Amino acid sequence: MLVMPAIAILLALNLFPLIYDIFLSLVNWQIRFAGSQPTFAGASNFATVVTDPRFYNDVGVTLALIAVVVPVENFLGLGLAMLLSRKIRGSRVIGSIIIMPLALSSAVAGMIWSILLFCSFGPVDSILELLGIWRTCANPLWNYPIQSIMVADIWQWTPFFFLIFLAGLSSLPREPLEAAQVDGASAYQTFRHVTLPMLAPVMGVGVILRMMDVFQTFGVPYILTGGGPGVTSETIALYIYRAGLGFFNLTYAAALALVLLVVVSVLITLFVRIYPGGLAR
Amino acid sequence: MRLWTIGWIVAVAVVLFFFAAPLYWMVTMAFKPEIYWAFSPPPLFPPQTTSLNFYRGLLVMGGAKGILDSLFIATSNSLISLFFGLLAGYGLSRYLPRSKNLSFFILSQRMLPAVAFAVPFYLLYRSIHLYDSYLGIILVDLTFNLPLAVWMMKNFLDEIPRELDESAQVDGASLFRTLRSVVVPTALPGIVGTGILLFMFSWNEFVLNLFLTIVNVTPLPTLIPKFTGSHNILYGDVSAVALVASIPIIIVVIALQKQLVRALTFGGVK
Amino acid sequence: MGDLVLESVSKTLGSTKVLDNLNLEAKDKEFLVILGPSGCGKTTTLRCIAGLEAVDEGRILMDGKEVNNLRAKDRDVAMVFQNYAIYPTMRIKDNIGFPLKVRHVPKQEIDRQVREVAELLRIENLLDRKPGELSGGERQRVALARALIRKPRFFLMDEPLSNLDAKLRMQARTEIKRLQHELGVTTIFVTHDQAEAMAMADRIAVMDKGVIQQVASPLEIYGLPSDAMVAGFVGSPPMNFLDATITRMSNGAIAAKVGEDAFLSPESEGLKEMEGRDVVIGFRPEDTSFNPTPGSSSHNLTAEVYTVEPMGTFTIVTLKSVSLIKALLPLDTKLSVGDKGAIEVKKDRIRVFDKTSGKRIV
Repeated sequence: MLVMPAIAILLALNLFPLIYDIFLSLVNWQIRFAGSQPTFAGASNFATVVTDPRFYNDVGVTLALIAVVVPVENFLGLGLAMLLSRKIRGSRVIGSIIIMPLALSSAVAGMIWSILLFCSFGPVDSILELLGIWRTCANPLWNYPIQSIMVADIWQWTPFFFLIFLAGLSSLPREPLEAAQVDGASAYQTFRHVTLPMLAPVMGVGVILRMMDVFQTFGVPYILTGGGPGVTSETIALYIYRAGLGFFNLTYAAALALVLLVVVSVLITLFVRIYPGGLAR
Repeated sequence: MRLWTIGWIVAVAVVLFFFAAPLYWMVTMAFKPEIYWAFSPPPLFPPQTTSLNFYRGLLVMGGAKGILDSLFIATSNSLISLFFGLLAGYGLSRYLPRSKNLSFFILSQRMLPAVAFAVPFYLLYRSIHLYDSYLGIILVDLTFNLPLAVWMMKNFLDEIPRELDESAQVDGASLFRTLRSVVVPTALPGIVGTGILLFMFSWNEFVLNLFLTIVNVTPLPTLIPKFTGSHNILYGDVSAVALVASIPIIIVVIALQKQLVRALTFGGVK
Repeated sequence: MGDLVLESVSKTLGSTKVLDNLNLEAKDKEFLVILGPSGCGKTTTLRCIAGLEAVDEGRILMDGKEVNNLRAKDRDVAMVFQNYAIYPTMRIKDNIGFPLKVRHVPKQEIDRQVREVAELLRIENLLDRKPGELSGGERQRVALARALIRKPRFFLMDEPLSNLDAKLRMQARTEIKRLQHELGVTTIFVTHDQAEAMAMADRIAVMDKGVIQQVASPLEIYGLPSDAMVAGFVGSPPMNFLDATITRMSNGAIAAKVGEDAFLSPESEGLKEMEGRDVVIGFRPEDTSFNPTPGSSSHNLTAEVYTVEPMGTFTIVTLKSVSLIKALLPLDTKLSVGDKGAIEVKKDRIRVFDKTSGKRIV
């Protein structure tokens, strides 16, 4: 009935690529040479992936990103939401300013930060010099590429957590919080034992969504550091892009993509299982 | 008590600075004439302003076309996703209420990494001449927007009591009429919020666009690397284009934050 | 231990003065019920006592010490909220033990006390459950347990029974009353249900529009209400009211003229001084009877039977006279709609209220 068209489209659009990916990853096909035919290659592409140091490097980079970026955005967003959840005049304006980075595309965000962090005329350099943090520019885009990506990502996505926690906080029932007051709990105790557990489902959803996104983050690394210097800040998605459109090794790209898919699915499923309290879905 | 307020103010100020300053910088860069780009240390306010960046970025470098392309793609995709999403969501909500697994399966489609689709679609599109076409991108964006739309719509529609539909039907309305006159108006805030979200995701899509477009269709994110050519990086131009591209979205997001939050959190908050 | 005084307390919320120069006292070990219609300010009063809201003017004294500036957590009060306010993410035993936990009581001691309280309220079997699995009545007892465990100076209860179904409500009523009596803790109980107030209170404070109208024992509130508002609020079915003028009848006696040639004669010496005054006459349905064969003397309040509602233990008969009047008659009353007769009221139970101020005169 009504659901069918949507499901049909989805199946066609989503299933097809997966199947094709699987096919591609199992063959050897020099696509860039016109007229070449695919030949069955078994698991050799995957073998290559598994023994590819660049792959592991990228996984490391991606994991490092997730490990830092997601918690920071989560708690920063939570803190901001709590700061602004009292109805103080101006909190709406402040909130509006905070969510602006979220509206930008990751390409734009990457571009902005590449300008900001660029030594010659990025203001970050001047400010940090002023604050005495460094004497001459330490060239963050070159020397601290992963950290630069982290900063840009945090800048862009903390507002996401801010928004969902703002909504979450405002939908919390007021009475248990008041009961905690009357029961004698301090502000910290109330937060830790009552507010936080009640927010746990929302937090879980935010964290999962963000984790999935960061796993395949492409825009910011591409624009900000290009994965460099070398491959020190290359993410998996970036590698797939390069393998596919750069080296034109589409079969390898497909294999990489599949591996990524499997890894993400497994990790997400694990996470959902482990997460205390369950999710709001 | 005073200490608390001061701390609060300081914290808010720092936060505001962190989030707003980069945007301010983008704005000033957009208006800065080329000579000032390489100034070190860079001036806080551009000593002169110019509209050359806008002119060059938008008209010469294709920024305007990029914006229009992205606009077209994102709008079309959002509308299509909303349409099918609404129908499917309604079907799920009213006729398959206990199908948690199906809904979750649909939603999980969104979680697939976009890159995984890139290669297959690339090959497919090249062979069926959808490469570098508007239709191609619009379709591809459905892979992540449609599941989201279905999920959101189902959740929003779940909120609307069935009795509303039923009383419309008792009054003699056909299914389509019920949808049009009763369901949609009631669910409008949710629909709007979802629409904004879908638009944003499509607008910001990067990888797939890179893979699947080249000259004919130039969505905005793919244009940006073109400004950073090997030698002469046109910071002012790219800032100008980004500025023009971002302002409408920022305005929409801020103006409709309430709906946006509702949409975001109906994926998450009861 | 357990004396509460509210002195000239005022509070404004938005543009409304919710509490207006309120004075209230609760004695140690007393079960005081604040009764009033919705919006009269009773919940606000309770919240001010708890410390969840600050008063704009006036003082709140607990055991003689002013507590205006004490935060809720330092006031040693326990509160049972209307929706129970149970912490949704904790198990029941952690819910009940929470007040002790925040005071850093050692874990074993907490477990012991939780068990004790749970046994008292017969919810020991629920201790490991989560709040979502409990029924309304069970949740209410959990809320009570959480309040009891602290052995506070005051219990504050904000309409805790209003979300229970009728049967549970009766049971809970008895339980709470019994518990309070055993424990001897001063309790302030807020409700809009006058039957509840009458059944449970040592004293009732009737409140309307931010002001306490009358504080007295249930019997006194019922029989000698201080004004028309209190009289009309307490009692079910409610008191009958008729506008009247104090007039001299043709036979020289002073009575209240309630209609064209219809008189009611309250028993009072003081009526003589009120000749000509506009008043409101009040009499309760249970003091009202219907005489289908009245004596020939005129000046009767004639009426016609309007509806007859058998209620199980008695019958409510609505009579159409100057206005609709309800009478509580015995179960075996054989009246039908349309029967005509006269309304008779027990003389000593007729109340007279001043028309403008509402205050009771007789």
